Amino acid sequence: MFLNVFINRLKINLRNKEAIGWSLIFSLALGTLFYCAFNSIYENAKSTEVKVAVIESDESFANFNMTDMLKELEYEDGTKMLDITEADYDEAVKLLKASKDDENEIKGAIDLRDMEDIRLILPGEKQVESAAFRSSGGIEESVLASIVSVFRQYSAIIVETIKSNPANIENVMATFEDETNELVKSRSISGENKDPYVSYFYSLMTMMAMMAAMAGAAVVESGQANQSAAGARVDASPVSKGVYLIAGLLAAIVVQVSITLIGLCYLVYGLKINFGGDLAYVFITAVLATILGISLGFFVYQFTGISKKARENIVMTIIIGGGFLSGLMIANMKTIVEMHCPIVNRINPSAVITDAFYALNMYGVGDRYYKAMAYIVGLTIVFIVSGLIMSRRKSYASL
Amino acid sequence: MQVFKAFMKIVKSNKAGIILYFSICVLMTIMVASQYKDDNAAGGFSSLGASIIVNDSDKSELSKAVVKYLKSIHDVTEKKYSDDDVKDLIYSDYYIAYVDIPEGFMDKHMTDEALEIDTVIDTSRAAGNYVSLQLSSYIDGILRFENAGFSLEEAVKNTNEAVDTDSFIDLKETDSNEKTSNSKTYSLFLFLPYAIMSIILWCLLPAVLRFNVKDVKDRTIVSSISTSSRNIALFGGSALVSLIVYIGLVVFVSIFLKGDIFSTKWLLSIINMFIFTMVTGCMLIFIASFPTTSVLKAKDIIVNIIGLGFSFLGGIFVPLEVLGDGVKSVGKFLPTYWYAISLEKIESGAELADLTESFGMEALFGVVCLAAGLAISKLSIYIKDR
Amino acid sequence: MPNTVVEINNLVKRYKELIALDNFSLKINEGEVFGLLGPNGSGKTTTINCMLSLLAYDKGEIKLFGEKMTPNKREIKSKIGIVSQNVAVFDELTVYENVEYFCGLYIKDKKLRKQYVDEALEFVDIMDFKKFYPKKLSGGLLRRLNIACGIAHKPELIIFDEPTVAVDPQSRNKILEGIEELNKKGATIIYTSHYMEEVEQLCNHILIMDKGKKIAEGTSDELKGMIKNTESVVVNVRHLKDNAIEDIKKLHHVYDVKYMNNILTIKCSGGKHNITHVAEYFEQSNLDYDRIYSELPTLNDVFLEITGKELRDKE
Repeated sequence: MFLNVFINRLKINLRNKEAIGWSLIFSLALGTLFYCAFNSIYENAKSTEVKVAVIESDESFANFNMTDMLKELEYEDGTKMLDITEADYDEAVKLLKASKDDENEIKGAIDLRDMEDIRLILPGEKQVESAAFRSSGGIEESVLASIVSVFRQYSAIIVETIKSNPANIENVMATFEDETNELVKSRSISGENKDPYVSYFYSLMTMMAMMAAMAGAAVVESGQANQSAAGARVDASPVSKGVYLIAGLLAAIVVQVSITLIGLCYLVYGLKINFGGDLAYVFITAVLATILGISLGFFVYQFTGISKKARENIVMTIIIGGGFLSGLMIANMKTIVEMHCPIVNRINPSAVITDAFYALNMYGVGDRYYKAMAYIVGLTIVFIVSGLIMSRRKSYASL
Repeated sequence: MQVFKAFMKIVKSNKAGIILYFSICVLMTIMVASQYKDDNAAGGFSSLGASIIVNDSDKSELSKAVVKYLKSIHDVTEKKYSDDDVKDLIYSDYYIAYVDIPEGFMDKHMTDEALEIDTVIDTSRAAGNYVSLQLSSYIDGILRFENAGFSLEEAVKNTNEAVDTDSFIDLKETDSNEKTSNSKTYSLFLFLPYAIMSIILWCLLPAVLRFNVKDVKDRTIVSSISTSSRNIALFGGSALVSLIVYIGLVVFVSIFLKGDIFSTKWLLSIINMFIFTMVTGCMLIFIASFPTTSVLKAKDIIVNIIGLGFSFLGGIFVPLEVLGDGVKSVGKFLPTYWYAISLEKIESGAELADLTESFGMEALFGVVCLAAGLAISKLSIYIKDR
Repeated sequence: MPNTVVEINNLVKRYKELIALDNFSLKINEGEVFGLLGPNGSGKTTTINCMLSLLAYDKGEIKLFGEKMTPNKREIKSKIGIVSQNVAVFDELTVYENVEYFCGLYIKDKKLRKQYVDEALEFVDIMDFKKFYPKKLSGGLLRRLNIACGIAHKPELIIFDEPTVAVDPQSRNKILEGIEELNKKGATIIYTSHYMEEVEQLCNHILIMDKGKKIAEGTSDELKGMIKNTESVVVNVRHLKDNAIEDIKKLHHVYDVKYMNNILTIKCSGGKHNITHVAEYFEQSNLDYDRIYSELPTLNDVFLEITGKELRDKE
C-alpha cells in the first residue's frame, strides 16, 4: 500500500513537467544571472597595484631615495602597492588625462620635486561616496593619499629636526632605517570564500529549497476530501492516512531534492561558484533545506479552515518575505535585521538556511552550523509531525 | 462592465500579494532613506570614507587622537563587538574594519611591551587594507616624531598636518566624468521597478489568465459582450490597477523625499517610472499570451524570475557600475537597465530632451512585448481554427 | 430477512444557517439498488458524504454493515466503493495507472490487484484507452474511468453519486447497464440522481428527498400509488373554448384540467378507459384535435404532487 502510493505519487510528481521545468529554470536562470552579475565584483574589490606616476627631482634629498622606497611598498599579503611610472610633470599630467580604456592611464601622480612639500596630483574633482561602501571606486586615490601622507611625515620629521635640533639629524635618519614598533596588527576574517556576493547564491539555494513547499502542499491536497475530489477517494478508502501522507511526502522529497541537487550541481560544477566550506555539507544543507521547504507547505496546507488562496499566500509570504529579510534582494538585509531585531533571523527559515551556508563558509562545520541545522531539522520535524496529527482521520465541516 | 467587475474582484482576491510586496518596498525605502546623510560637502579631495567600528578601551590622549583621526575620514561607530559579530559584520560588507584599541595602549606604546591595536579586516580586499594602512601609517608617524624627540602633543600635531589631504593634493581637471554621490531621489526611485513588476505581475497575471482559460474565454466571447469590449475591459482593468500601484508608490516615496518633490529631478523620475509601469503592463500582455494552464501553474516562479532577474541584471539591486561588463551587455536588452540609466542621467542633471534615447529604449521593450504578445495570440487563434 | 447494509437515523447536518439534512433517516438492505432521488441541492451528496464520514454531522446515527461508521473504520471503508459526482482522477497518471492507484488503496496483493484492474477496465469498456492520459478522454470515457476507479476493488456497497451528469446517451446506457450487472453480481448499490427516468429504470427501492427531508419512499409503483393521479390524458387541440374545458372537468374520474399552448392535459384519478371518455366527448362536441394519448404517472408527478414543484428544472 505504501509502495503503491509512493510509486504513483512519484509518477505524478515527475510528470508535472511545468512545475519541474519552472523550478529548474528558476535555479538555472537566476543562478546564471547572479553569476554574471557578481562574479567579477569581488575580484575587482581585491587589492591590486595602483598605477601611479612619480615626478622626481634631480637632486636626492638627504641621500634618501623616495622612488625606491615607493617601489618596495607592499600589503601584508605580499601584493605590491604601486605600479610606478617615472615621468616629468607634463607627461604625468598627460597620463592623468588619458582615457579610461588606455592601459597607460594612471590614478595619480606623486610630485617629489619639492621634498619639503611632496604633493599628490589627482584627476578631476574627486569626491567619493561615504555612506555604503560598495564599490572600489576611489580607493586607489585614497591609498595614494595615505602613502603620500606617510612620506610627508618623513620629510616633515627631517625638516622639523633640522629646524629645531640639527645635531640630531643623523640619529633621526638612522631611525628611518629601523622598524618602529608594529603597533597595529591586522587580522583577517576567516572563511574560505570571503566574497560577500556569494551570499546571493546562498539566498538563491534557500529560495529554491523553500519553493519545494508547493510539492508538500500537493501531498495534502491530493489526500483530503475537502481539498480535492481525488482526496475524497483517499479519505473514503481504508488506507491509513499516515501511510498515505508519508509515502506522498517521500515521493515529493525524492523529486524536489533531485531538483535542488541539479540546481546546486549546476552552481558548483557548472558555474564553479565557491560556496566555501566542505562541499559534502553544502549538499547536505541543501537537501535538508529542501525537506524543510516541503514540510512547510505540508504544514500550512493542513489549515483547512482558511481558503486555498489564503494558504497559498501564507506560503508565498514566508518564502518571498522571508527571502527578502534573509538578503535575497539586498545582501545587507540579514545584517540589518540582526542588528535591529535578531529574533527574526533565528525564526525565519530562510535566514536560518542562509546562515547555515554562511556558517559553513566562515567557521566550517561547527557550533554555529550545527545550531542552524538543528533548527532546520527540528522545524521540519515539528511541521511534519503536527501536519500528520492535524490530518488524522477526521470528518470535515464542509466539502 | 461585467468583465471589468469580475476582473477587479479577482484582482482584489490577490491583495495579500500587494501587501507583501508593498511591505518589502516600504522596508527598502526606509532602509535607503535612513542611510542618507545630507552632508556631502562639495569641492576638494576627501579620502574614501568607509563604515568602521572602533572600540577604544584606552581612552588616553593618544587613543583619542587616533579615533579623532579615523573620524575625520571614516564613518565611525564606537562600540564593542564579540569576535563572531565582527566577522559577520565585516563579511556582510556592513563594516569595513573593526579597530580595537587595548587598555594601556598609550602607557606602553614607547616601550618594548607595547600593546597592539587589533584590527579586523578582510585582508584580500583593498578597502580593508586601506583602513589598516592608514591607521598604521598614522601611528607610525606619531612614533617617528616622538623618536625624533618631539613630545606626544607635538607629534600628534605634526602628524595631523602631514596627513591633511587638503594641503598636498592637487586636482587636475580631466574629461572623464567621475561619479559623485547620489541624491536621495535617485536612490529611492532606483528599486521601484522591482516593486512595480512584482505587484503588477503578481496581482494582474492570475486575473488576466483566469479570463484566458479556454472555456471562460469562449463563454465570454459567445456572450453578448463583444471580444473587443472584453479586451478593453481587461485592458482597462489592468491599466487602472497599474495606475493605482504607480500612484501609490510615487506618493509613498515622495513622502520620504520631503523637500525634493516637484523638482525637475523628481518630475523626470516619475515620468521614468511611468514609462516603466507601462512597459510592465506590456510584459503582462506578453506573458498572458502563452498557453494559459502552463502559465497559471507556474505563475509564482515566473513572477519571481522576472522580478528578481530583471532587477539584478538591470542594476536595480546592485548598482550598474559595480556589475561586470557581461551583465551590462545582457542588461542592455532589459527595461530595468534603461530605467537605471535614465535615473543616472536625471541624477547628473539631464533635461527631458537628453533622455529621449534611454526613455525610448525602455519603451521599446514594452512595444516589442506588446507586439509579440499580440502576434502569439493571433497565431494561437489560427492554430485553434485548423 | 435480508441484512441491513446502511442505516441512517435522524441525521441532522447544518451549514451555518442552512439546514442541509433535517432529521433524515434511511435504511438500505443487502442486494438492493437504492435510488436517492431529489432536485439539485436537496441533500443527496451531503447524505453520501456523511455516510462515508467525510463530512461531520450535528446529530443522528449512521450504521454501515451493522457498525457505527467513524473516520477510522477501515474494515467498513474497504467494503465501499464510491463513484463521485466530480471526476476524481489524476491528470498525471494514465487510465490504467489511475485505476491501479486507487485500487491499490484497497488491495495490497499486487497480482490480485492487476487482475482486478483489468477486470474493471474491461467492465467499463475502456481497455483500449488504458495508456491514455485523462486529458485526452472524452467526457463519457472520463466518466467510465471514474467508475472503474470506484469499483475496481470489488466493493460490497457501491455508491454512485450522479454518475451520468453530462454524459452522452450512449455512455449513459452503458453505465446503467453496468450498474445493473454489478448488482446482479451481488453488490448493493446506492444511486443518487435527479434524473427520474434513470432511477425508475434502475432502482428497486426509491427514496425521494427535498430540502434535506425524506418525502416519500418505496418501489416505483408504490410511490406512484401514493398519489391521486393514475393517468393523464393529453390532447393536442387548437382554440379550445373555456366552456369546453369546464365540460371536460365534469367528466368522470377527472380532477384537474390544464390548457396551455394548445395542449390540454387532463388528470384522472382511478377508473379505466379514461382516454376513450375524453375522445368521445370531443367527437360529441364536434371538436377537432390533432392527437390524443395517455400517460401513466411518473416519479416527477409524484414529486410534483407532494412538493408542488418540478423535480428538476426544465431542460
